[in-house]
Amino acid sequence: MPSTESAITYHEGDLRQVEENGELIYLFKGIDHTGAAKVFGITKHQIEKILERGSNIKIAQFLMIVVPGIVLVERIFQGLRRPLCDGDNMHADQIKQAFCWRPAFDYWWKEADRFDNSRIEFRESPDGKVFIVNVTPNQDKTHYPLSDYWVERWYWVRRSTNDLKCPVDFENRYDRKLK
Amino acid sequence: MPNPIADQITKAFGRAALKPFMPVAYYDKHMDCIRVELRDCSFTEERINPHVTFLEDNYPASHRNATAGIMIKGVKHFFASHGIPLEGIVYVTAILDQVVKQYPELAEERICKIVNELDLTVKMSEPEEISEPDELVPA
Repeated sequence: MPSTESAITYHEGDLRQVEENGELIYLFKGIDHTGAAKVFGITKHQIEKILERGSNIKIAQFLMIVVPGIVLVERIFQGLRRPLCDGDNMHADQIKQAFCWRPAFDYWWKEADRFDNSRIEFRESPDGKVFIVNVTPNQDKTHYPLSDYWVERWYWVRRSTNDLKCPVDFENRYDRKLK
Repeated sequence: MPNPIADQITKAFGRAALKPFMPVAYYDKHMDCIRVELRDCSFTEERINPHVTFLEDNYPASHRNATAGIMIKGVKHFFASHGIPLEGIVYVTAILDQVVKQYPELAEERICKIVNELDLTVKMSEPEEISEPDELVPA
């Protein structure tokens, strides 16, 4: 299936837009648990949903933390220890991965600006927390050949006291540590 | 007044402006969870058990409750085991009612506060596309 590609204006080279299988997809670069270069994708439809909800902090975190920062990943886990059905896969929890690191910055609103949706500000990362990006390995390379991983969700979690680069209770959250 | 972060977002994604936030509930079919978000904020996810995670505002104002949402995980298993239909529109309060019945220790404060701020439903149907999550339907 041929892909078409078009440039996107943010941080040239960091994020690009392609069309695959009739769908627009944003792609950016990262690494996997072996350190090999990989391509991460998210559908434009998914980004549009977040924008339509007005979840502007979430979209700022994607653009300013996830896209430029996933290459800095420090810990990678596979298998979420909770029931998860994705499509026909009743055990999709086993293939999900969690990429974890501690970015320097986060994004927020000042309380006084809560009614002005253009006034997002950056600030130092929250103390004692790490950032997680949930991804799924692309299992449909025939129709979507360019992405190695699909990005699904991103958020902060309290960090472990046993390993400061890991989320709290990582021993019970995930099946195994890949990195 | 121009804001460089908002400007980068609108420029990157071809938007004229950012939209205002409204409390929302939606089904994320790839993560098989329902997310209820009461604020547009930076969240810390606090995992309580395999079915429930609270969303904590990382920087709440002093007069605000830090709990700014909840995530119900393993929805298909949970719905099936509690007789909640997997299709159509479901009231979020009905889902939380089942959560409280299974985990009564959570009912005292946090879920009650969320319920008090809610009048939301979530649409459970899955469109035939890879994109996600499903649309939400304010009540």
